[in-house]
Amino acid sequence: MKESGGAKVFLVRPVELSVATRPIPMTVKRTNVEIDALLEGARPWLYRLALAIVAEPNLAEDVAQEALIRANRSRRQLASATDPKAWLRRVLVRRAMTALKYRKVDPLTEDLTAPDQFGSLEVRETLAQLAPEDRILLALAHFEQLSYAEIAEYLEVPEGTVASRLHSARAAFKEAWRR
Amino acid sequence: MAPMKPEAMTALDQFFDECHAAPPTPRREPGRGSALTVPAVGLTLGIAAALLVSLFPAAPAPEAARQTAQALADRQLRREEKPDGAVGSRQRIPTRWTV
Repeated sequence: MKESGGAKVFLVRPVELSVATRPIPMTVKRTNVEIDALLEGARPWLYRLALAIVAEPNLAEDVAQEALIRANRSRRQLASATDPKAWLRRVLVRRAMTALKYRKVDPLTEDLTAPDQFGSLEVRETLAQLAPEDRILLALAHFEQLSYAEIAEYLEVPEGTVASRLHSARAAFKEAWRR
Repeated sequence: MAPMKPEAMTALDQFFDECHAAPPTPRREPGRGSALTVPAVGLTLGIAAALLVSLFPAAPAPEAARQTAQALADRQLRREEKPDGAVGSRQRIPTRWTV
């Protein structure tokens, strides 16, 4: 501590930033071991997100597995991804969209009362009547708790469009629920 | 009197809460596997078969091998027994007839 002109000046030595608080560099490069750990750690989350979208355990497991395979093939992209969770989410949502669009079983005639089914039968029946895009939007907003801004960045549309689409998806769900 | 239906969005949020609490590895019905495992199993079996074939190449049939060896030996023998001046297995045919 020094005194200059009556004012006390504290000389503070610069503190070395720890690894946790150090800002993440823009060019991240993960090793194979780190990617392995990342994928293994993301597996439960990916499965649950897939379950929230497709609402069927077996299909959700397939979707999560396909997303993991796709991620494993694109290790180079994943190694340098600034937000690996968002990257994985994008891959999974694409796989879920494909699964919902091209699934062999018609969701309306599918036996939703099978014993291996998950969650409330009424909710699953209602979700089955919605478009895949609406189901994904509801899952991103309600399951992933993403903000409008995050969804807008994710879908590459303006925030107002997200709000409008989400409103439509909720209205479609409520309408199908009443039937 | 039938129980009242819960609010739509409440039921949806409850469903998503159940998804959050879902076990990471669900139970699969016996005999109902992932569609992905079918090509994976096929690929594995194919690679195993190719490895087996490369490790144990098919030996020629014993009878066919014996016949081939015999034919080669006979041919060699005939060639050795040919009279002088004979070329090949046929006699030389004159290319131009003289009158």
